[in-house]
Amino acid sequence: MPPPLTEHPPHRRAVLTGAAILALAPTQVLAAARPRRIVSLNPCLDVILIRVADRSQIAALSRYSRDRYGSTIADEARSLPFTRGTTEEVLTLSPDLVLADRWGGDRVASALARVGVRAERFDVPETVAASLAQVRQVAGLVGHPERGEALIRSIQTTLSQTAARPGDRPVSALVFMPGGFASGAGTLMDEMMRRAGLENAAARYGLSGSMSVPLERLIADPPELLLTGAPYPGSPSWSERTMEHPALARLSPRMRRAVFPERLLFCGGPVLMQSARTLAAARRSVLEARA
Amino acid sequence: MSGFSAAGLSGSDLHVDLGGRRILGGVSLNLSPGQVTVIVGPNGAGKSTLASTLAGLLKPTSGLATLDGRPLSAFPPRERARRLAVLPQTPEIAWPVTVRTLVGLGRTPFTGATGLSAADHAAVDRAMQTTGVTAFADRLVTTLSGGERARVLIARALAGEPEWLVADEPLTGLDPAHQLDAAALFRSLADRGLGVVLTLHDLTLALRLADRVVVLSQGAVLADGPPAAALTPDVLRRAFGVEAVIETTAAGPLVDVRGRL
Amino acid sequence: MRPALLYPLLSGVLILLFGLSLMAGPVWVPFSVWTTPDLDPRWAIIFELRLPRACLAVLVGAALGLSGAALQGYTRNPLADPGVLGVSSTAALGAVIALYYGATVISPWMQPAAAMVGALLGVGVLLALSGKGSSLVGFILAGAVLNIIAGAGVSLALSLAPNPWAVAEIVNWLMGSLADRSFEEVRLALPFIVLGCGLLLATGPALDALTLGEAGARSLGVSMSRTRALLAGGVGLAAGAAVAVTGVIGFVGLVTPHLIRPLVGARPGALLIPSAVGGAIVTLAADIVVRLVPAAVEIKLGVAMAAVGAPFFLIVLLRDRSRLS
Repeated sequence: MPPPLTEHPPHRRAVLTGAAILALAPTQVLAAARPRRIVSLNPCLDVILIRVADRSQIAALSRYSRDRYGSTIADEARSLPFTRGTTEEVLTLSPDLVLADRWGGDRVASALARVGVRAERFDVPETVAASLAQVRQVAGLVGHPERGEALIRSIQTTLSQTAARPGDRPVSALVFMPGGFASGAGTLMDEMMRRAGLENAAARYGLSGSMSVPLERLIADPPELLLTGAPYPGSPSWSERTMEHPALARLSPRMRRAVFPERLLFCGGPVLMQSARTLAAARRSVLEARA
Repeated sequence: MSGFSAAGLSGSDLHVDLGGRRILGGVSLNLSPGQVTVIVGPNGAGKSTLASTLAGLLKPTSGLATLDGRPLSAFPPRERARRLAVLPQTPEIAWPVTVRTLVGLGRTPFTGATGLSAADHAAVDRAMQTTGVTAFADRLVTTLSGGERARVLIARALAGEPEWLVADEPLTGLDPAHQLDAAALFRSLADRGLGVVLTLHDLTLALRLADRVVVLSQGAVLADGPPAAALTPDVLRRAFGVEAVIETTAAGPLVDVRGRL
Repeated sequence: MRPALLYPLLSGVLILLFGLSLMAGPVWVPFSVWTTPDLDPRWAIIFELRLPRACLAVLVGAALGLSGAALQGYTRNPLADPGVLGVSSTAALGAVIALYYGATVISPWMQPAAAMVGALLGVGVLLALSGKGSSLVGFILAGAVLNIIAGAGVSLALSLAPNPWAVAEIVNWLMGSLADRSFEEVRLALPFIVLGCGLLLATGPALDALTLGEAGARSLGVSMSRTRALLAGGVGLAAGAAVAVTGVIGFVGLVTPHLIRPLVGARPGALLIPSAVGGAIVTLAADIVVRLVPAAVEIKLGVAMAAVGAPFFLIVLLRDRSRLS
């Protein structure tokens, strides 16, 4: 335990005081350093950004967030500027922080880094813990770590509220997206399903990652719950027709169907709350139907 | 226009323009069946065009091509095809079929979707016999020599048992022996009553084979009559621009081209 | 081979493969299930998944095989085929435009209709080019250009369309597949394929006469304009409707006549019906193979046909290049 300040020689006192001021006033320092023009190129990062940053800090969100079908924050996003994500457009916005994903945003992020703009890259989170860590990271970058912690607490509360109780019987379920794509083991969706008391049937079909389930396998060994997306407005694509195949109708007594909107599928962060509630409701409906 | 008769294959005042150029300018002639008529002339004179027009494959820009007094264009295509067979200039055989199949194509104007009847097969056999190709009936045409193939194509034309045969340069590319065989065949066909119309390059053959020669030059008829009267040195000078002499040899008359003008 | 022997042989092979197609798949369905529709959901595998798939394979294979034989006969060119010549791609472009710009909301028949219009336009371009007896190379080049243009058009149309699954859809259309189809697709395609095949069969005598070239055929009383109309209409309807429900499956029309010629001879008219049956056989066989090949994802039928058909095309081209040029 260092001696109290008053017992140090004067010049050392000055140094220690200065150090103490710096150490004890991070928020004031950070307030001075908070980014003022943030551009996000990824819709999942948009969702986090809207919750943890000041409106005035946001220079632009990605254009995908404006789509009412694919985004959970469409109305709010439409009240903010957006960018299509090309390097020129982003530079024109004069950002001091750019948030990008490693997939499509990588090239833009590298190009921006070359001209000295700060760009942070994020991976797709594959666990809840990784997703919450991203929330924390984004909140830190925008200078509002306390909002990040608050958001994390809300998410955790919702997750525990919607979690299955230890003794509950797991319900087998499959997330079945256009093209027959299912989320296999090791994905964020897989963990969310487990937390909600759903056993991911993708494991039965030998899938890992996100791969498509042949309809025949599904029919031969159906899960109790099939979670499919809402059909896209307008003409159905071939991929979407798979979800409405007549053969699936024959499974109805044994397999219940519930809607799991695709916009919930892609993102972690605050979206996890909606996902958790939807999954829990779907599970309840299966158990009630059997009762 | 003299001696316009209703029977036979005729062209009256035929004008044909192709690709902006006048190919035939006012050609009139009447051809009778049972004769070999040979059309000669330098390249570009319009021999092939005249043959195609008389065969009904080309519609003249003005003037009329008629068969027995009726315009060729007024015939339903199948009826015209039954009466008038054509051997085009560069014969194409697209697929490696048997000789019998190829000759059988000559019955197309008579058959429908049901294929060849017994009568059709009989006509095919007769045509193959006339041209002497019965021995190859089941061989693929691609295995035949040039001369044999020429005879098969003539058999195809004869399978329809037409009244008229129009052949454009049928002897080109054949060995001398095969040329003589084909010429003898045309002669015998005419003797049987067929109307044979040929275009030829070889003037000596024309002289020996034809009952009638039509000399074309620059889209007009320069001479039209029996060979001795139509193929005179004077006509040859005006049509071909060469100095030539008609000699009589043991085998027959011979056109001896001495030099250019 | 005599017709009396050939047709029973081909039919026998077809029936055998049809039966195999009902049994082939990642899931083994015992025969006892076949007669219990409501008790076992696996009944649906046979009757709602595999049966329509097999029917569609037969229809599409017949349409493509017959179109290929007719196109080869008309163009006097053994390398003609609706896929190689770009007709399938223009059909796909028509279908994509109708589908993604909302025309199918008017009626589901708009999709095959648009595909058929696309196919007709493709055939029209080709007929315009082959009428003057163009060289083999020129003809194939025209087909390659049509393929490139139509393929680019499909990609463009889909990337501008609002559907988020656009990239997967491009693959679906350009690679061709019979997977996950139902009787709805069979119903949609059947009348047009039957009608188109009828028109193509009517060109038989004209195609035979074309062995002698266009001048020769015309001298035999064949109407070239009527033949062209029958050919364009037949290929447009048959190949167009096929593409509308399965996407582009190439090389069936190319390979089948080559397999049939040794049995029947080279006369084009004789190849028509056997090529239709042969095309059905080739497509069924290929579809069975893609389902039995152990791979993480089922290989697309169009890809499998290309893997077999492209080397075949190359071999024919190399072997016959002196004859064809």
